[in-house]
Amino acid sequence: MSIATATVREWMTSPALTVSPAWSIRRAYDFMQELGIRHLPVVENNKLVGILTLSDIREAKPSDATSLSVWELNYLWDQLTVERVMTTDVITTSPDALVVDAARTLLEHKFSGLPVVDEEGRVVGFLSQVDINRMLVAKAGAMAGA
Amino acid sequence: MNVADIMTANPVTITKGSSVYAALDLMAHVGCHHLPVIGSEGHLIGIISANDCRRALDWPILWHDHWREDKRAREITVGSMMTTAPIVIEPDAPAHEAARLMLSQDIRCLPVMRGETLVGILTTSDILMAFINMSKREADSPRVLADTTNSTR
Repeated sequence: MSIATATVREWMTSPALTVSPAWSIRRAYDFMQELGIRHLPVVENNKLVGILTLSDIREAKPSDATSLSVWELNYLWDQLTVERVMTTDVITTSPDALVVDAARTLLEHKFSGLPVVDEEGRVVGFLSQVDINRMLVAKAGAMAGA
Repeated sequence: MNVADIMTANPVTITKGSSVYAALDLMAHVGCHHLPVIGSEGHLIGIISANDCRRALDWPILWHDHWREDKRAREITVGSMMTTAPIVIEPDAPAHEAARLMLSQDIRCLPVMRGETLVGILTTSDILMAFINMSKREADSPRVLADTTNSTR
């Protein structure tokens, strides 16, 4: 099997781990830490409504604050919901897309992963750089010959 | 295809006596999350990540540019927070061996060493780039590229 024709469906992590827009930043952040990931698709009524990344959390702040103590940051995280800080313009890929095209999108946008969405807008998986590495290692013969 | 073919040569480095502030400032400037740490003899002695710096400041996250105002960032040294004796790879190792090592060790960055000398750095981005170039060469017959990205609002 060639690496150029590998599809997202074959190598994505499925089902994807997702969060609800109503979760607090604190809960979503703890979930990310526990899983060791930097991004979570945000899903409501089975539809993708956004993506929450560590950068979104890092940028979250009350509009008037220029500086916060750790205590204030913790308070903020308990109060703010995912919906308030998530990115709503999400770049996605589809199960039938080629992994190499997804890889190109990742590099172009400096993302570490993409939600995989079917025709109905349902999140069916997540393709991360780790998944792509997994594929390359599994097809190491192809890489050695290249 | 070997590590030397896909690595970033002559990486930006930092010295162990530098401050965490200097490390974070350099990372922000270069746009990376890891820096090889060089000792007084010029040898690689460790690697420092943005996450190591965050731990030094004891914050749950590197919030905005807040670290710039944190006095500790200028007091704590890179040497005290770095990972010593990092996992490294040789430039002549096969590229897939580097990918396997990153996967099994759960790391995103490998210093490339020829003997005692740091000659490059290999990150997951370099591996993605190699994969894309490899696929280009493999696809010798023309094919219609489907638009694989779509935007959901």
